[in-house]
Amino acid sequence: MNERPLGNPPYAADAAAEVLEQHGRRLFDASVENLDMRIRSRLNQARQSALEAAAAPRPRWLRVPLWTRAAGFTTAGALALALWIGGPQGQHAASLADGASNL
Amino acid sequence: MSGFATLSHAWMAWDGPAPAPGDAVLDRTRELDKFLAEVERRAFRIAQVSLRDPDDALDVVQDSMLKLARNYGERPSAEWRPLFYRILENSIRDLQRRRMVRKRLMVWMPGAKEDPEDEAQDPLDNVAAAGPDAPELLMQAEAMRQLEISLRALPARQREAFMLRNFEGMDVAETAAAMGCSEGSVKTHYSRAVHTLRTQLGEVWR
Repeated sequence: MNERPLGNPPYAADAAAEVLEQHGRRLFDASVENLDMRIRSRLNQARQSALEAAAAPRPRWLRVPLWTRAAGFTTAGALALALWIGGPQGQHAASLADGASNL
Repeated sequence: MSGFATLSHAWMAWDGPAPAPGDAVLDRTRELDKFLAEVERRAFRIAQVSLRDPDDALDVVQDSMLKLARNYGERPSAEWRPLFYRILENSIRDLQRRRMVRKRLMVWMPGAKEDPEDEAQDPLDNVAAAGPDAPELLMQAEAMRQLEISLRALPARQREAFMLRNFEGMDVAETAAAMGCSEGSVKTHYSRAVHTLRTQLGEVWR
């Protein structure tokens, strides 16, 4: 019950709202206190495995933020597309077609 | 000779007080462990209220712990709480979106089973073994069940504001940081949530 972290009491517009807030908070605290041992044990395991995984060194490429990786792949794709469309093969094909139409 | 002696002393003076990096990491890990141990059960209940399924709630809490430890473990410990709840709320929202997509896909699949999340949860699932005050526990569990039903009916942002402010005891600034919105928005969401809950639960709780 004493696990509530420090913080300002929530804003209550009037007495009825305050009653609801206090009652709701009490119920929530009670439901946290009454969590069964199976859930507590699984939470403990989850915490330990999260801490272990966080302590393990990660590959260098995984340390780059996800958005940076996504931006890199997108840029590379756009560049490849631009080169493929505007490359010498495309120009050659166009010039052959132009030449054929002029005959 | 005196020069060597001075150099030798300087080296010892420089090398001596250097903190062992392993100790600092260990202290940090212990601090993080303590923080996570403090918030894990409340975070689980918050996730469970939103998601209903205890296994999903456990997954979301574990994922949030991992993300906090990996990405923000080096940040000052005062920042952990709003960051952790921000990660948690984002993970809850992601999971709810995935469920929505799955649900829509299930409609088109012949012979698809109903989503297990729709099954009614027993309010007594989380009640500890019955003791001398079992009737009171049952009444509490029933009242909490009604509160959870009403909370689930709220818009997501109102529910988040209510749970972070009321259940978790965060102030407006912390809640705004956790929700990624302005303090004014938090006040609005919270006040609307309280108003709706009072209308719905006022009769039941009187």
